[in-house]
Amino acid sequence: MTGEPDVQPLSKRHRSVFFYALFGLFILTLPLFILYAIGYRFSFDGSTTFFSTGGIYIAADRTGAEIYIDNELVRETRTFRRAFYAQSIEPGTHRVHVQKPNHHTWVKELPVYPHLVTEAQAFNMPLVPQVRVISPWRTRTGETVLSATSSLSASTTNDFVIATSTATSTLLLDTEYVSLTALFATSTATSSASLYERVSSVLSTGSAGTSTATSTIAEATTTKEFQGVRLYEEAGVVYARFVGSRADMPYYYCAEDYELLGTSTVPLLSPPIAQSASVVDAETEDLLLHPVQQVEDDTACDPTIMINTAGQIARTFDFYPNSTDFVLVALEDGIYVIEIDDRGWQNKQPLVMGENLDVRVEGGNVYVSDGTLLYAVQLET
Amino acid sequence: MQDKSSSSHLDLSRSARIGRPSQGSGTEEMRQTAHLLPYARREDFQVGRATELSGKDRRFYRFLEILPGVASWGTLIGVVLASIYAPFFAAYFIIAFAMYWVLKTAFLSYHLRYNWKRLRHHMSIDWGVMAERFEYGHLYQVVILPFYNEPRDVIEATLDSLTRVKYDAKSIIVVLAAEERAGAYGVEVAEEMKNKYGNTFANFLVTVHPGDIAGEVAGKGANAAYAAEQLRTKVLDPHGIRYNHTLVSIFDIDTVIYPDYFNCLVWHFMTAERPLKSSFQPVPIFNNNMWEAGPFARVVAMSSTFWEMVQQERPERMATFSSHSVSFQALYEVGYWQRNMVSEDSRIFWNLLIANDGEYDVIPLSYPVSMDANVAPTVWGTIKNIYKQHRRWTYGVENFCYVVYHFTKNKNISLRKRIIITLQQAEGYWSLVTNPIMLFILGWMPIFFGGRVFHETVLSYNLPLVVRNLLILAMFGLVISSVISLTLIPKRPEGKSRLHYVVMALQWILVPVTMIVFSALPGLDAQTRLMLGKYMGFWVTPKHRNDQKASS
Repeated sequence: MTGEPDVQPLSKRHRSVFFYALFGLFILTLPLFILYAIGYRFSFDGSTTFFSTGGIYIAADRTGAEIYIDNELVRETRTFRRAFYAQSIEPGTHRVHVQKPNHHTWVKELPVYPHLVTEAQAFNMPLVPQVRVISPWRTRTGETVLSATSSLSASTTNDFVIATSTATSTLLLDTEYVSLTALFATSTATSSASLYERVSSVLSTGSAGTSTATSTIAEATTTKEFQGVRLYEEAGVVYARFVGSRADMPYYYCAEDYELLGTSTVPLLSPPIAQSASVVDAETEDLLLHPVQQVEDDTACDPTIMINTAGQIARTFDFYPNSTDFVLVALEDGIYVIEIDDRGWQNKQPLVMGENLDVRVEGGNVYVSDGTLLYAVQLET
Repeated sequence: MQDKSSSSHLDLSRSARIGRPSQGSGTEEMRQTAHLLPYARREDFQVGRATELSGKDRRFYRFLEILPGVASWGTLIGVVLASIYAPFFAAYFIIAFAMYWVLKTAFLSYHLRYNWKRLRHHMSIDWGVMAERFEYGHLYQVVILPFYNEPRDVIEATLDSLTRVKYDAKSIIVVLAAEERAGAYGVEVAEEMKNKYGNTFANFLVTVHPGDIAGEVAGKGANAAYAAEQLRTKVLDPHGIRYNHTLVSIFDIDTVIYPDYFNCLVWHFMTAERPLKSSFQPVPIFNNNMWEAGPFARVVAMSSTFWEMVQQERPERMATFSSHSVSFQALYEVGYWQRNMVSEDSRIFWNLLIANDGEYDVIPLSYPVSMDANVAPTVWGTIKNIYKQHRRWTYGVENFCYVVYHFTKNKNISLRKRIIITLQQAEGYWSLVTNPIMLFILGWMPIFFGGRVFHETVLSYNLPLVVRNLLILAMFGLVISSVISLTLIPKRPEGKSRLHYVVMALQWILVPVTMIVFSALPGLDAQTRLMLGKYMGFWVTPKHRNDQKASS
């Protein structure tokens, strides 16, 4: 026993050395962290310089989809990870595609600018849509009774029985059908029949084919508005116009023009710029208040985008449920989902195929009518 | 020794204002304040709040009361406004702040780990042998135990631990300080304890603090000060015990001391550079009821312990906290603990520092005392109690006003010392409230409020990634906390599964929540109250143990 504990209090010298070591670490590494966060990357190829990069943010609407950037798989989406943020992307045009087995593939070529992130919303509609058939009658056990054949290219998710007679005394009227028939009736200018007459008509019709054959093409006349986006039709063409606050406007409404990969072998935008450290320092000072790549003054642009229906006339249109990025359009040969984002091109995928179909969106669900039967389209797969 | 007035209710209105008589003749006043240090004779020496002052002093003190709340609110609102109007600047600031946090965590973990090593070493030492080289038979150990209405078994466990110390019990004086406000229970249980333990110690004094002394804030400080004066007049003076030979340990009633505490204290007292100008701070480990406490209570309790362990390795930043020891001489020279404020445990250090013109120290003992974690019968009750307890602790911000006020008055304290302490205190109270909220909540504000231009940038996307990764790095400090905490819990009681150890190791992931709910929010609450002049009273933490056997 020396009279003193063996473990002495931490000396001031030790504490000071440790403190100044950490302080030095802070001073040295903070600029590197900030440069990294802004989008600068260090070149390890021998030039030992910093260069500018941008990013791409892709949101998919389905789980199990694969996101590719420049043909390289970067993410397989899961329940809580449906989006992917790719950083350190060289400025220029990049091809992005999102695919899922048995679904249509979404493809887009997107521009990437230094220090900015390009966003896009992908969608993948199933190749074979799944629908629930809704007919006027049900059995007492709840099964759907069909007295007409469907004209849709789709698989059904519900069981049904085929009516063998026109007698309905043992059947129950399907209240869902009744209410949906009213929904389709409200904006169908060409129909003046009462609900009873329409139901009777369905019951007396032998097949869907006879029904669709007699339908007339009606142009869409309704204007829809949802979360600052207005859909309207003009001379048979559907437009999407952003009418909300400019601060909330999606970037694609006033996007700059850029050259697509297919039209040029060299990216239109600047390639990664190798810069000396001193140049970066000068830029960093500028970056403290605003980004390197200034966003265009979008107050001057007209935030209106034409929905490309490939020359077909839209019978009806509406927003895809809970989305301001996609439009549901009833065309002559089916119901399509078309993205509003027209950078490069607009992806257009069929929701259900069939002639003279009509579509309504109600309570987050999509209902399709072929003039004979109604169908609830299953959106999540 | 006999205590002749163990439960008498003496009119101690004179001693209640000892050192600070506001009326009376000059001669009488001089007689009453003669024992006080010169600076402690000022009428405003034990000021508790702005309303006790007048004129310019009152306005200045009020300004100081407003300052911490304004600084904290200003910072928090400033971060939100910067996120809206200057999101790039806010983002850089947040990245820098997150990095600072990582390094601060490393810095504190270093201190914590070192003190853990020293604590364990100190617990392994035979302090009785260490102290043998000193002649200390003249020293008396006084233990003041203020209580309100805490359960019998809690008081009994504390007194039991006193009977087990490796120290001559006939050199120990116990003062069990009851409150008249608690009704008959306090007196009854105090007398019961006196009957049981009275003959064990040199003296067992029961005091009953009157509930109606004007100018007091009902609480521990008023009770302890009353008990100290009773001790002086009833025990020390009658028996000729010198004040500078008396070491006073003021313990919360749930404090269970370790057997070598007094030997350790004596060793540090005898080796101190200026023993009568020093307070002695043990490490409060809130682990008495650790096995009955839930994860929130355990994390909060152990975090408080860890903070004190860190402070033990940087004593120049220390103030006394909770249970501590000090010579009676020092206490008498400043008029004991303040009776007109809440956080008297720290205030007594500031009283002593200022009255001694800055020549006063806190000496870390790196030796533990065990106390109760805050536990109520229900989870919600526990959460409410922890919140209230921490609001009371963080109301210690009232000390900032006191210290700065007197630093402008007492020019005998070196300017350097005054500036350093002021900045340390300001940073401490500011960071307590703002840091957790900025890190875990406001750090994301630029992403939500930064506007379209900011949202398009790589910086906007990288901000949460960079901050998240830095915080994950900082969380590695919690691994150290987790390991150390497992070594400080009492032995596993029968009936408790080993699985509890796993829970106790993993419970540290709750730290972000506990930092906000039990540190930042009560701190902001306390500072806001002080800022608005809605002064807080003393909230007594209810003591609750399922298992009546306390560890020691």
